Amino acid sequence: MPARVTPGSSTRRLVAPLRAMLWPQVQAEVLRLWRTPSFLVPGLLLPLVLYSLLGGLGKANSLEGGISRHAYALASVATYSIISVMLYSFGVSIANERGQRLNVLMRATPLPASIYLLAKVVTALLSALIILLVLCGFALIVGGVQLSALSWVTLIASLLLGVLPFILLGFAIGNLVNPAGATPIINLSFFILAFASGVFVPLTQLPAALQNIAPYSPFYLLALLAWNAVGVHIGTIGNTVWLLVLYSVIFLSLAVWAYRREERYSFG
Amino acid sequence: MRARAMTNLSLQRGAREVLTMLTSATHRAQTVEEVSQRLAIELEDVSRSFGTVEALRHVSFAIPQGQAVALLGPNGAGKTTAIGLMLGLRRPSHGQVRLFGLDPRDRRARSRCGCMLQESGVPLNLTVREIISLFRSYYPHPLPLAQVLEIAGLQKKAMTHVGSLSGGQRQRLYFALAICGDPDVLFLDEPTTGLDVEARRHFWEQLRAFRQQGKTIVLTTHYLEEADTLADRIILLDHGRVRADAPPALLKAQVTNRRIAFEVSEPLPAGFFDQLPVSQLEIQGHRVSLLTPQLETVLRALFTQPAEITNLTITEASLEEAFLQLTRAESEAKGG
Repeated sequence: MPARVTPGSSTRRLVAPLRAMLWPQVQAEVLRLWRTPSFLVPGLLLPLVLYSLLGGLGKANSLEGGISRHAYALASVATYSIISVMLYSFGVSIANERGQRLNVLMRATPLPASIYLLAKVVTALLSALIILLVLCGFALIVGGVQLSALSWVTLIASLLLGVLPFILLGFAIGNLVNPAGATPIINLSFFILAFASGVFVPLTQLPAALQNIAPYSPFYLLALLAWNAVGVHIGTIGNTVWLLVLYSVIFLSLAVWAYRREERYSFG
Repeated sequence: MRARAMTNLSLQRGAREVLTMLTSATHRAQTVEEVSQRLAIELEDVSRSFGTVEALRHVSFAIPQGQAVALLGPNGAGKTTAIGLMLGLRRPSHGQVRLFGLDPRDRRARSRCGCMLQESGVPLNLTVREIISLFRSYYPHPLPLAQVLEIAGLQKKAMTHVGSLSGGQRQRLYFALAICGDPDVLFLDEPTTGLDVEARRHFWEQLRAFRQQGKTIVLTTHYLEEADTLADRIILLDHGRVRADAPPALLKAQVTNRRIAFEVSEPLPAGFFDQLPVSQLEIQGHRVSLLTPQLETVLRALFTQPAEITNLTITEASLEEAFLQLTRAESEAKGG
């Protein structure tokens, strides 16, 4: 039986092209993030304050073993800032949108969930890049950190690539926790991760139990990449990359599980 | 006895019957497939439970394109669940839901739908213009932005942040988001809840204009006036089942109740109505108002008593009264 064709239906598009959806979606996400007061102040200013407090200003004295204190502070704070963007701007926003039932409204539109999520990841990486550029600019101009062009690029690139496990962790927490409890839960996990990482408190000053665990914490591993990029050679890179890959796999499984659970609950 | 009569009266009409209806007369020669292309929505023996709660039980109906259907029913009847299934926000536990012959989750189906949901969020820190532009990008053939703003009456609010809109304006924004993709079907879950009378009438006008373009509308409401004004067809849901499925006028006709109102020259004797088939009896001084399924019996009794009857009016039951009678008959049938 010949299919009946309504006039014009052969030329009329049935769905909007996906690539035409991504850019407006990213634009809207960037606008929303930019207009969130809790992003601008803590996201952009706090790293500068932390950098100053950690000794990134003043006389460029060296730590033990010829390590530049300024470069060390820069890499530490850069790591901290980029992880916080992934957990707060990305993870908390997912939880909040569940709480406001925004995900339900979006789900009823033809926008695929994958594009919605991709736009959020792209936005988080863009804002991380901006934060890194501001911080590096501050360290260069105010702190007087001297690095080769290659080191600057390596620092930014390794942080943007190495942040993958934290994107997955943010996504998992955002789908897992009760929306009202998202911020406190992320505060707590972020605090524990940061404390047990040796980024702000030197490893040697941590409790003995933590001293053995800390070198394997994902926070420390990412910091290690950043320190190496600015010439602070504390550990080797090879194992670090593999461990971060391992964490990515673990957090990916957690993220998939959390996403499926939320799907069953809200849209099953 | 009466309960069984009411059950028989309920005009439950399955998908097949609508198909038959459509294929009759002018379209007799067409196949089921061809006809189903002109069906916007089909539910086939759909059940849905949440844990132990059965929100919908064995619901079947089909909605042809261009029809305006009101899903009516008390709270917890399953209206919102039905909308969620038709939009693909939920999956049926049993049975099948199709939108234009497709899975409701299919992007081709979603590109032809618009919806206003109850209590769905919207990004607060975007402007009206920004969020409408964003939603337009999801659809293959969106309406021009200016036209969307005009239809929703939001021209003056285009640059306002969504978070600063009033409740009524927010509702208009949801309407704008629902229509911006120029949908063929519009799903509205209690669209006028919380609107004042004027805003509601304005909204109804917009919906009528939308209907005149041959679009399909599915709305849930607990305002019977709204269903009566907007819908060609009412599907009455109660406890997850279809109790009645008919045009508003036909549904009202199914209900035999008539309202009688009159004035009496002197008070009627105590217990006068005790032996008569009346309900909702109200006596205020000389004014009496009541509902009865047996008009003639009551009138005969009234005119054979000595007091003079004036200003007698007999009106057909309102949809609300019809609705109450239909659902009450059902619970009586259940109770015994």
